[in-house]
Amino acid sequence: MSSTPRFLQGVYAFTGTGLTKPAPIDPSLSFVVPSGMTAQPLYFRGGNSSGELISVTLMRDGQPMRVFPMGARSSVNVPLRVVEDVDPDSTLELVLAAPEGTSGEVVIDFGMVVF
Amino acid sequence: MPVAKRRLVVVGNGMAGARTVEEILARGGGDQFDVTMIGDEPYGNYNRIMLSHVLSGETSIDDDDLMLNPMAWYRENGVTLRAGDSAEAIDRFAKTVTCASGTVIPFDALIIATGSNTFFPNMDGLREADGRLARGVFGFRTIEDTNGMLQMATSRDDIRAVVIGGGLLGLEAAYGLKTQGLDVDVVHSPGHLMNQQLDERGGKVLRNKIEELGVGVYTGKRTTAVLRDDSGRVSGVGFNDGDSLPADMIVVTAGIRPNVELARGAGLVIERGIVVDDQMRCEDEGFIYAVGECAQHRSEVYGLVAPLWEQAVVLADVLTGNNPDAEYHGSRLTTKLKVAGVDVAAMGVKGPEREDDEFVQFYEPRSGTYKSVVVRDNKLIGAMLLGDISKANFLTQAFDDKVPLPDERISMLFDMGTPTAATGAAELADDVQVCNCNGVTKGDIVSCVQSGCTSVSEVCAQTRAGKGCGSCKQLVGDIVEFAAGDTLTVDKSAEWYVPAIPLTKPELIDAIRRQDLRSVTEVFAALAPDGEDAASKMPLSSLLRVIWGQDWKREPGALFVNDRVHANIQRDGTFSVVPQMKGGVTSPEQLRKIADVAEKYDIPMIKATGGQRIDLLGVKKEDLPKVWQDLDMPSGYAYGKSFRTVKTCVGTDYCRFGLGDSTQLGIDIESRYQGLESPAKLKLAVTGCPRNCAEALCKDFGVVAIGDGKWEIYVGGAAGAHIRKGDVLATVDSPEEVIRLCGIFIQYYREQAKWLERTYAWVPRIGIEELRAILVDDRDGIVDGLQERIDEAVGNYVDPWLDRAQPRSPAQFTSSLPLLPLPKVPVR
Repeated sequence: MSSTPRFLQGVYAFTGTGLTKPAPIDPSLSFVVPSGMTAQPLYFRGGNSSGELISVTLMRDGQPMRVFPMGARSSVNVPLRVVEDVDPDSTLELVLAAPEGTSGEVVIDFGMVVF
Repeated sequence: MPVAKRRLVVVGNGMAGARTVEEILARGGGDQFDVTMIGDEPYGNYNRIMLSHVLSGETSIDDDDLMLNPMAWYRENGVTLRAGDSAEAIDRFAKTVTCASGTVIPFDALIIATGSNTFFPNMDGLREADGRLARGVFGFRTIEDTNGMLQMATSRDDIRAVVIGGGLLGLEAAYGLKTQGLDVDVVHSPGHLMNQQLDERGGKVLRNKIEELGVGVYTGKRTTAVLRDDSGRVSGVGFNDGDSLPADMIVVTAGIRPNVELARGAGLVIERGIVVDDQMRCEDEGFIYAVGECAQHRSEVYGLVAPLWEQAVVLADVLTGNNPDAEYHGSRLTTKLKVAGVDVAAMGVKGPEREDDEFVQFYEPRSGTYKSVVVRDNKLIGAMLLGDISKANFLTQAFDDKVPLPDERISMLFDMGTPTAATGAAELADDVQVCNCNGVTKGDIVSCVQSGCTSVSEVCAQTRAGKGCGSCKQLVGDIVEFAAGDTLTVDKSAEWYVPAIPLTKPELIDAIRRQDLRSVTEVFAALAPDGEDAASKMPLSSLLRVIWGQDWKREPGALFVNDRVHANIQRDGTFSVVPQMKGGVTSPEQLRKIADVAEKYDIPMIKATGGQRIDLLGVKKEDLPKVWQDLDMPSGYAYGKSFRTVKTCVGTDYCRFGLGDSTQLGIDIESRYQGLESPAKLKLAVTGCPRNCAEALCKDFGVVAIGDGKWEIYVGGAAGAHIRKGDVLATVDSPEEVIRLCGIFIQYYREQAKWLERTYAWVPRIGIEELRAILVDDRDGIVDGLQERIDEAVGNYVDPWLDRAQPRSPAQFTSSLPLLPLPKVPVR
């Protein structure tokens, strides 16, 4: 009743365009905070099947909010212990950057609460 | 060998912290722990829920319902309270807490109950450059916030307030401010009011009700700015769509955020709140716990009071070893409350979520009623009631899986052959929580009745049920009625003068006169069915003195220490002595004498009182008779529930504006009515012109000269804990008439008012028109009787300080132990 959990998750194929040039991963990895509600990101889990370092970035209205680098063939689990409010009508989106030419799959599970 | 006590430190003296300590003490924790509590507010523990009632003027700051644990509670239970100090840092390794005052407190176990803070959304102009909130912007969480709002609300006329946030608290704030006479608008950024609890239809019904109160409601509008005028004063709020609303005062109730800074600084695991396990223990720490709104349990942070109680019970069980395996598994939240006069109950989900969820709705906007239930797999997973919440108890139980659902779902919303509210009380399971504010179950109430409490008020006093928001009072009454059956006693006692004797004050006076009862013991013997009752002694001895004057049979045990020794006891066990100084007028001779006495008896402080008298503070009890002897002046009555002083201005003697001889009139009134016993203290003043230097407008009985020989009489004023301007009783044209009316008024007050009821409560209770009719116009023909009795009382006056010659009892003036081992009062 007081807060609702929300998740952005899935497994997606990617092809790198350069570590400094992030690109959207999938339209489903974007979330607009409903009017009158507030969101708080809580954790990020991710896995990288490629042989190169890649990085997923959480964007708020086009600005980076958190960066999650993942090593070659490894995974991360990041509890976001410094929790901050994301205002209503803001857009949260996950984007990915990988060295040019790298391809592989990324596993994403991003959790937040909305209240 | 006795085991050394462990040191338990509790950071936070709010509802969760104090409740946890209460639970710990109830489990014998007082023998295991030395408890220290740190609270940054300078009071005992109070009920935040009641602040809404304070704002709307239904309760006052010093009310018993508001204070859950007054300062005395901490002393009585051996709990060290550091009020007005705040914890700044926790050293987990050295096991110490450092306070803002610099004090370092070591602990063996630590409970963090820092609660939460008002959340202020991002808005331009909200804060000053130094980070303080702009003047005129308030949260609504503490006594300070509430006082601030009240002060601003009453500072001038035509104040406009905007409340940001249309949740429960916001609507309460809007209702309270509206009651104070302000123009109020509520701005809420979601599409409907109370969106956390209600669906759109429910929000619509509530909106109609709120708008009927005259409160403006704006939904779907996000506030982005606090507007200021050129001088920096708040002038309104601006919205994301470019609109704005004018406002002098802004109340922000857009949610709360757990207060975790202290815990974060200590390196504890923080997510949304302080992460705790099922025993409320912080992650990685065996001896640090968190409870209440600052704690995050199984990913959930609670902002309601019921979960706090459940957490406090578990933590107390674990800490005291009462039940080391106790676990808290989270709370299913049901809300039942009155929002701005509208009954609301809500639980679980707001509407159907799956294809096959059953959803029953009833919607009648005209009468302001909305009801709905959501059923999944024959289980109630959500319900909402607005306007009529008679089925809330049944639904609460169904939600907790305590009773099966009827096949005919509509009967969950209406009484259609299903149990009525009364039999509902009988059918409630014992562990159903009835009072959500204080965590009282039906079982608690029933066992309280079985232990001998047979009236609703007794049960409420014992269990605290109904002492929070009050929405459960009806149900508590039903349960008491059901449990007590034939033995139920009706609460007539509210009308009685003392609880032990079933008579109203006039009836009691009549009985005492007729049966010629002269002592408290005789009154108990003749009139009290159950014999003596300690709490009734003081009011009875006061009443006996009103009736018999000096002819009552004095029993020292029935008197408060002040009345036994005719001086005012101070917190270190010494007394203060105030010589009479009629009208505040004194002479060099009197001053010299006072100075000599003060020197002779090492009186540490001499101070002018607010009532224009000289107070000698710090007199030892055994010195009292000698001090009076040497002073050789009459008593000034600074201690009694009696006629005290008449404050005056200089009137016509020296004042360039005086319209009447207020000094002489004050002296005359004081000479005539000095020392008269009354239900509560009586403070008077006479002032010589409407400039009112003696502050006569806020006295129990105040007189103002208005020229042409006329005097205006004000009654029922107050300027203490309660502030009230007196009502005009009459305008009379001679000092003699003032003195006569004063006597009639005092005698009627002595005979009618409840024990300790000040005139500021009594006058509005009776009504000034009614008083005028009785006392001035003599509608009921009782004035002659009043006059006769006051004349008799005045005639019987004896200065109590003459007791010095012959003490009434051997111990009257021998020293007793100091009340408290307090630090010595500083001598200035």
